Amino acid sequence: MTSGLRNTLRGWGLPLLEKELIEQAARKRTYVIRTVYASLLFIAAIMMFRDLLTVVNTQSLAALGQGRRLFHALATLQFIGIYTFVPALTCSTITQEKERDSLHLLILTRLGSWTILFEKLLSRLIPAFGFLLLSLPLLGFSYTLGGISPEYLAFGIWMLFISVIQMATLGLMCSVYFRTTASAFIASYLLGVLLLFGPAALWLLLGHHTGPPPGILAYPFFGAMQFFESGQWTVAVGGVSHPLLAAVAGTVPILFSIAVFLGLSRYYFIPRAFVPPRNQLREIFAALDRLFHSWNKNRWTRGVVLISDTTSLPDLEPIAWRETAKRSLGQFHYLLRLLLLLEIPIALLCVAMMLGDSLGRQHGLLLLAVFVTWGISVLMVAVHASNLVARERSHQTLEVLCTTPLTADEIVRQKFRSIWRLIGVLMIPMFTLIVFETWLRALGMVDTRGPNESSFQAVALYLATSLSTTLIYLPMFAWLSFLIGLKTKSPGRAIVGSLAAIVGWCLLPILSCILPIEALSRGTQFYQDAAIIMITSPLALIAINEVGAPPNIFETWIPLTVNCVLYGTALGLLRWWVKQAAPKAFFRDGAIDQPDDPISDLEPSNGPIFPAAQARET
Amino acid sequence: MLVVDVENLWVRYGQLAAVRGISLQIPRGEVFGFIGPNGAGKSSTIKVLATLLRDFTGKVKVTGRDVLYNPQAVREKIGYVPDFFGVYEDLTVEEYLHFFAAAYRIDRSRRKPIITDVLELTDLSHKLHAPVDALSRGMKQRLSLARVLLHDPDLLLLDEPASGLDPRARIEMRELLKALKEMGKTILISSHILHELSQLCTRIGIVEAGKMVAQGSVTDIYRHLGLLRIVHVQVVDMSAELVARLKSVPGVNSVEEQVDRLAIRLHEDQTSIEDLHGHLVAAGARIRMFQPEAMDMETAFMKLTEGKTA
Repeated sequence: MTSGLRNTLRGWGLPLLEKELIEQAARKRTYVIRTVYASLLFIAAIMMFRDLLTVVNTQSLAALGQGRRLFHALATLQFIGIYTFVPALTCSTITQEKERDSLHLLILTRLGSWTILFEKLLSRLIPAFGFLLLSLPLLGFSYTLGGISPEYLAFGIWMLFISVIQMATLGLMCSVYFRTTASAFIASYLLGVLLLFGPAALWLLLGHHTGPPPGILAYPFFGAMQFFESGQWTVAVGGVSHPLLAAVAGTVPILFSIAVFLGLSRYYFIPRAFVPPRNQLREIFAALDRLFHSWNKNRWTRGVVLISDTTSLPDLEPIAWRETAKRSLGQFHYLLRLLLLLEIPIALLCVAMMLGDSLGRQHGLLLLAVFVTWGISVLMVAVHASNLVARERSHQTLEVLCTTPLTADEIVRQKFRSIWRLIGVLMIPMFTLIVFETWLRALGMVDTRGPNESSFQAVALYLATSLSTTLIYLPMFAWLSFLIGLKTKSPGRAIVGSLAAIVGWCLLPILSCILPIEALSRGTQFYQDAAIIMITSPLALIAINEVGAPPNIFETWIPLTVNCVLYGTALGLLRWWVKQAAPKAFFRDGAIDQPDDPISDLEPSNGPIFPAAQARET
Repeated sequence: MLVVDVENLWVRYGQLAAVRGISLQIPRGEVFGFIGPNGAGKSSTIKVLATLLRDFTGKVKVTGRDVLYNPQAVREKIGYVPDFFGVYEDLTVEEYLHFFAAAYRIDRSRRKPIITDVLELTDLSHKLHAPVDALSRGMKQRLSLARVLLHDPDLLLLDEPASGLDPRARIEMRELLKALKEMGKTILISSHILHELSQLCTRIGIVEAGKMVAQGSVTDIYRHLGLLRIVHVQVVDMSAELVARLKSVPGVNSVEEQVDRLAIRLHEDQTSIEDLHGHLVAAGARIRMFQPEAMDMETAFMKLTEGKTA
């Protein structure tokens, strides 16, 4: 931060903002993220417009009027960036103060609640706007090509601007309400999805599913949709049509949501400032316990206990014992409750579909169940695996554990015991869905066959791909999360880091490459070449296996091969990486099996009592 | 036999050198006190010995084993109590000790009697089934000591073990450490609470800014610093003649007449406290009180860390 800016902030009396910006400026990752973002943005822009750039070089007149296309693509990239990164950027705004026990010190100063909130929000908005500014040269270039009016350009920038503020205030609100960054992170993305897609889902649920819902009604809070559909609406003033005025009026719900988020942030700021830390997972399990106990006490089951966890003391593997006997996600009776919670709705869904008369047409519901089960499973595995070491570190038990003679390999192996249990339990509902869908496909109710496949081949390929996906992805995400937990200091960071890595891995290949390409280059050879990038997203492969490959791009056997080769290798590499990183994390690196030195029988040296003083004298 | 042998230890965190060429040797059965202000390099030195800090230079051996190249063997020989509790709060005391007994690969048949013994020593037998979470700070610290005694290590590394404890818990901790000393354990204990160590340690090392500024027995350090022992005396028949006679005793630096007593400053290396008492009796003084003041470690520390040696 320049001294001029610092003096200006001091002049305005914004000490908190100044401190935050100084902290950000001191971090290497600020510059790394900025550079990576700029590189990705410019590379993506160049990739998308290589044909346009070629035309500009050869026939400059032919490129005229192409600016709108370029502008739309850039806006798409920026909206993706905003919805993907801004909640992550802002969800720690207040929670980090809570986690450092420094929020009460801030509240005790003369800074008012609004001042603290605004300065904190600004400290996150400034870098977010910096990301927007990075695209300014590209926007300028698109404007020079023509095809967009100055009003439309301003409208696009305005939508990007308020979308950043909307996502930032959402993150701020979650940060104010929740105790930890991890909770705020998860909540801000869930609420974000609800906010953007909730009205459209509601529209469909209310039965208006015969035609596409109009954007302004179905996506009132979704800035990107408002922007792209702005041409469809118009307002007539004095007999003159004003489409832009209609578009600007359409942004009122977004501004309203910003006001609500800010209001709620202020409302909860003090009441939620001192909430004690809670183990929410344990609370969920306790609530489940109460529910299952009440269900179990009836005249038929009479409180029957199917599996009781032994309370024996550790024998040979103490860490494995603690992870499986003392941690919520390791104990059999909790895992059984989890299994029932996931399996019962799936079983009911399968039975309902079998009894119904429109088995094949309900495939969408089954798809939803597959993706929800995947989401829950990955979330649980990632949270649990990333916490295994980070929790020891935050509870200051890691160092004590590391002074025992256990090897790094033993610690990792024993720590992972509870993960395997959890993965085993989560695979059961997955397999139920796979078996049911395989049966549907065998009956011919669902058909996603490739052009050269028989029905048997298609079913076998689906089954093999689904099984390989389940067997590879969960352990792969577990090793990835464990690795991130191994390298981070706090459980919050480990969870956020793991989830961000998984979400990034799943979405970025699709969002950053496929969507703009899809929008701009459909049907071209470039589109077909570039869509191969999709295989680097595990999520895309699950989707391809479920709904079939895009036409003329994938043969159906490709997902199976990619699963086994690419993701199998990724699983192996991540496991190998953990084994390489573990000795350093557990202070066991660099040890060489040397023969013990003979034990010294020397008497203590009668050296000088004041070595430093003697050194000074000499 | 040397249990700890450190030669020219340097620990750096990036640009900062936290430990700058510390050397120390601790023979078996010694209680070595590591004194220094916060940030002096005590914890870094102890972490090197506990095999928890691998990025250092110098020669560091525990019972003859190099901590850098043979850490697994060193871990069998040490018991480390950090300057924080580091206890699993979801376990009971029994489970906690069984957990570490298993981690130290103690045979299952031997665990129960060992745990009974260490709990008795640390006076926690009545808390066997209590959750660790429910223990007081003092009890948690005693539980940490019980943990490190499970595998009967040669060397105990105790980093600020009395930090944050109330007076009662401090006294209990001190008594426990005395018991361990009597059992012949070699102990390296760090603290910035000076009088705590002066009563317990056979030798002390004073560190400041990563350097060892003094090392030796408490008495040696006082003698080298030229510190005076203050003896408070109340006599029934106080007189100017008695004061003059005391002033003439070799080693008496000064005699200050206070309201109800005499404060005598004494060079102990010239006249011992017992001899001073003899001089008083020989002078015919009828003694009501004779009270040598405890050695003032804080003064020693302040002098040393200010760079003064006399």
